Amino acid sequence: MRKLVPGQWIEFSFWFVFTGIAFALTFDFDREIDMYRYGAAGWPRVVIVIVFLAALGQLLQSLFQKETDTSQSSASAIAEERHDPIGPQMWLIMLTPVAYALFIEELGYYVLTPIFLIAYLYLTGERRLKWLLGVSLGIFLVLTILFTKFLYVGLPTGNVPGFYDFGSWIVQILQ
Amino acid sequence: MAEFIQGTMTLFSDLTSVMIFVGGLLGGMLFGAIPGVSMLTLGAIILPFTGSMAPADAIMLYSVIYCSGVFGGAITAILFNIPGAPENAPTAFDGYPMTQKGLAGKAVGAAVLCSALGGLASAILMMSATPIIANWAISAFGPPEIFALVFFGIAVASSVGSATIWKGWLSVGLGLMIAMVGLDPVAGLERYNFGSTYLMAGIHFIPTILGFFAVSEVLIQAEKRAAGTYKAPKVNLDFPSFGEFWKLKIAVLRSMVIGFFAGILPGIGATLAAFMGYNEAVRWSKTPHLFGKGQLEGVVSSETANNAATGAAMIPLLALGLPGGALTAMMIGVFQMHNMEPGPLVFMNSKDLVWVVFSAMFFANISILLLGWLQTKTVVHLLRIPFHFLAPVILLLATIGAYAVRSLGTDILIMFAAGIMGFFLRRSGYSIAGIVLGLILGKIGEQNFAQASQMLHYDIMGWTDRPIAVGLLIFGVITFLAQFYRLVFAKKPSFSIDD
Repeated sequence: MRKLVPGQWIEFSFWFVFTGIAFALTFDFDREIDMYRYGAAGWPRVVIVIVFLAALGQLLQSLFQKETDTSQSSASAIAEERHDPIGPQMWLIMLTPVAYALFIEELGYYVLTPIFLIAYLYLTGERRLKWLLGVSLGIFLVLTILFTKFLYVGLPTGNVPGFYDFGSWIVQILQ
Repeated sequence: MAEFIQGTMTLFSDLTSVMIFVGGLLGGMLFGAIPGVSMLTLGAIILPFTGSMAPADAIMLYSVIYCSGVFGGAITAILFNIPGAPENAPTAFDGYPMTQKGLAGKAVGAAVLCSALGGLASAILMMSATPIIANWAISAFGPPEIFALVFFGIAVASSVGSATIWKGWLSVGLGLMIAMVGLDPVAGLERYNFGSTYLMAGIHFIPTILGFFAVSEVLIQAEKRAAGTYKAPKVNLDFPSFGEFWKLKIAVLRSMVIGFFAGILPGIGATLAAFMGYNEAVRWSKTPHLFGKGQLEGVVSSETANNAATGAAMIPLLALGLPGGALTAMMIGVFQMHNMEPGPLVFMNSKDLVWVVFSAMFFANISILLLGWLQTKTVVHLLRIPFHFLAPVILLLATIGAYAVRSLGTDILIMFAAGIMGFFLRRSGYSIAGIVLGLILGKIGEQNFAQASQMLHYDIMGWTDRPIAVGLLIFGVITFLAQFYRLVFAKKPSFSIDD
């Protein structure tokens, strides 16, 4: 029997907890439907059981497979498995877009996007000030003009006073 | 033939029609290539303006956009792992790895040629057999057959792209579970929405696909850059040779047939066609383990199938008035704006219009071949831009694409969440392809299973009266058993993860 690394334990725990919660939640909508015998919970329960069994199969394979034995389906193999931890820089790279998404409706696309682009380029290693500002502004201007002026895509102007006014002013200039 | 010549002359004798044709062609290619802002966006934008066009020009415009839009999405799928539309998602599975190997020119070239071939074959079949095929497909394919087709597709998809078969099933299962969020397709009961009105409408597949493909790819490359292991792709403009294509003739023919029949079925369309074309290529290949690592056959199968579906989708629309997807549904709107009803009567009352549409689709596919060649020679140079400058462009394009679908900030959040999830799942050996397929097929599968169960009065024996459905279900079960057999009884692994 092989010893699992902490990353694998987290992975299997996730699947078992996830399927357990998902199954428990099916009782919230387990009501009879006149025209359909299996109800709204029938299909989800079958899918959850399949996912649970697949997770169990993966756990058993990971525990009892020999080091060199990777007897998988012949059509798999693109993916490589890695369980090494993620560094702090990578966490910042991942969380910056999330922060951008969280505030975009409040502060608006037109204020937040240049800041996001500069922050992202900085985090991914660009330190030359001219490039940092030039590339960020260039990307922002080209894509904003393309989508706002030519494709008429409505982008968030923000809800907070001041930010909203600025966003609307830019849209007015462009259109 | 005389009708085709007549339609061609009508199309090219009027300067306005020619301009509309060219505009539709270029517009479809451009909008198809921009993620989120798809050919559907273009179709929706121009819909109000079609009222002032001649009916034949208006319908022709949409048919040309359909052909070029489906092709356009392949370019970004191959170069940046961003499918322009869901039907281009399988193109990215092998197209992007080819780009990473410095074979972008070959992949784009193959996509151009196969899109044109698939579209042309479909257009020719459409011209010759619209009424007969439409009647057969509509009568032979009911909910049981569509559910069986979905089951078969899922069984095959579970074996593509993951490190183990279990992870393949977990990937597909996760996609199916994401598709459950929202309202149940039978009675509209709320499921997994936690009281949120946003989640009541379900998780939209465009932000999810953008997240799983584009954002996760940016994060993976960023991690490589942070670790100092990033390698820039080589830029290569070589087209595939005739010999390379000739070796893939069976794959092209198979995908043409799959794409054509999937396109005829209402609600199935180009997306399932592309996935089925790809899956079958994997299933019949002697080297299935190489798929997902940059196999030209993967690009060829997906692009032939999705374009073969475009002509076929016109068959139920024109012959029976049944739209096969969102763009063909818009075409019904165009018909109605001109006080016309698509259906059998169109062939009697508006024969000229029908043949202008057929001719336009034929020539649109030929134009894809010429324009696509030019595109290959130019667009591949985008890869010369350092990835850390390209990454914010991709993130911003994906952000705008996700927001443009429904003007909801939550869609952007969902996209980045899917991207982070995709990053971890890909690191752990799961298949993004499986998740996306599960997500797209989940609703179709559940809805058709419910309809089939009601239709057959919950009687399992009732399925035996549906030979096509039974055949597809058996193929699905065999596919699963074959995976299991290999797992349990294979003495030697057919490959290793490090292959």
